[in-house]
This record gives sequence, C-alpha cells and structure tokens, in this order.
Amino acid sequence: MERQLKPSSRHVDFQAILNYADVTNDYNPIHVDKEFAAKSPMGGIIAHGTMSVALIWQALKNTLGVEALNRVALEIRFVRPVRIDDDVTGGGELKAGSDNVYEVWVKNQKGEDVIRGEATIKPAS
Amino acid sequence: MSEKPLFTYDFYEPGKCYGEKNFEVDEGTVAKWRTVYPGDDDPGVMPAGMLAMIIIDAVLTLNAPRPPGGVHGGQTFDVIRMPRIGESLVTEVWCLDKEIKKDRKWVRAKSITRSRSSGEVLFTGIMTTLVAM
Repeated sequence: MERQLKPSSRHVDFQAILNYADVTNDYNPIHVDKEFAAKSPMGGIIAHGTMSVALIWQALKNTLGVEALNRVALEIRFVRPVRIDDDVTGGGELKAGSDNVYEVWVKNQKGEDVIRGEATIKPAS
Repeated sequence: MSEKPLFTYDFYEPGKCYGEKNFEVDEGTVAKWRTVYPGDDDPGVMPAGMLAMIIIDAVLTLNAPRPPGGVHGGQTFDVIRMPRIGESLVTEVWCLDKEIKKDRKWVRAKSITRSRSSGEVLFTGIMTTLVAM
C-alpha cells in the first residue's frame, strides 16, 4: 500500500458551487444565497461539504486504483467551511503502525484542514 | 391546501424509518457530475463522489421540507460494492439518534443503499447534520 495518497485539487468559485447545487439538487441557501448566508452564523456562502469529499475519493482512486474503492470505509468530519475562491486539496497518508488505514484530509490554500478523517481499505474478499 | 410543516429537530425520532428513495445512476446524471469533476471519467464506473449525492438526495427528499441553513457536520461511507453506471438504486433512511450540545441541534441519519434489481447492499452511510431549527 502506498504510504502517501496522490493529492487531488480544485478551485472552488461561486459558479462551481452553483453547478454542484444543480447536480445534487441541494439548494440549501447557505450554499447558494449570498444574502441569506451573510446573515447566518456562517457569515457568508459556504461550499457543500461533500463537494470537497470528492477530492478524497479521487486521491484514493488515483493512488489505489478504481477497484479498491469497492473496499473503502470512509469516516470524515467537516472541521472548517470552504469559502468562495478557496483552493482545496484532498490527500492522506498511512496511519502510523497501520498498513490499511489512511488519515485523510482536505486542506485549503492556507494549509488549514477543512475535512479530517480516516479511510480504511478492507481486505479483498 | 395546507403546506407541510418544516421538518425540524422535533420531528426526528431515533429509530424511525422515513422510507425509501430511488436513484438512477444513468449516463445523464453522471454526465452532469462530470461537468463539475471532469477527471471522474473512468468508463462504466460511477464516480465515488456521487455516493454522497445519493445519500443527500434521499435525506433531502425524505426529511422535507427542511428548514434552511442546516450544515453537514460529518459523514461515513461503508462501501461493499460501488454502483455501476446504468444501475437502479434504492436508499432507505432512518434517524439513528439526535442530541442538543451547547444549544446546537445535531441529528444523525443512517442510510442503506441497495441495488433495486437484486437487493444487494452496495453501501451504507451515517450523515451528521447540524439542523437549523
């Protein structure tokens, strides 16, 4: 098992957030309505958290191959919002002492975690 | 005609099943996904990022109308087999538990997604949400 996942990145502009809302039918105003979001506790638009989770899946696929995705148990927490025009990168590394559990993350352009979690690669049956 | 009340925190009952939602992994839906993630282009394979989309589609449909402004706090996925393009899925959703911590209302919804044709379990998930009301 590779020690380091090959990272996957993307730029998150407002249009990308709107496109993701269209694809997922998730029009929660915290993601798409600037006026509503500005008055919310979030203080402005935040991207859908699952938009960034896709980068972890891409990092797993790019490193372990598409077949390995059939054996993944992924557990993640959204620890910081992704804002308009953030650049986010998903990746991970093998957990110390483990040969099948990756500590996974998505970080913004400041190097701050926006997602933390673990991906366990279950044995092939 | 009376409108359905908002599906607020009080409506969640731990252990209660909210029903099922069908989802077609068709070429059109995958093509839409690829407009956002052009690199998710493995032939015949559903992009793994769509797992979250399938769960959210079921939860947003079955626990509706939702008060605006909720935030996704965490998510688990346990994949047994990735869905294939062309496959018909059905997702069952129920409330796992809920709690109020520091005046914040947290709900965990459990989901299980099966192949509609065979009943085979493809993946399960637990979605943790900070509900707005």
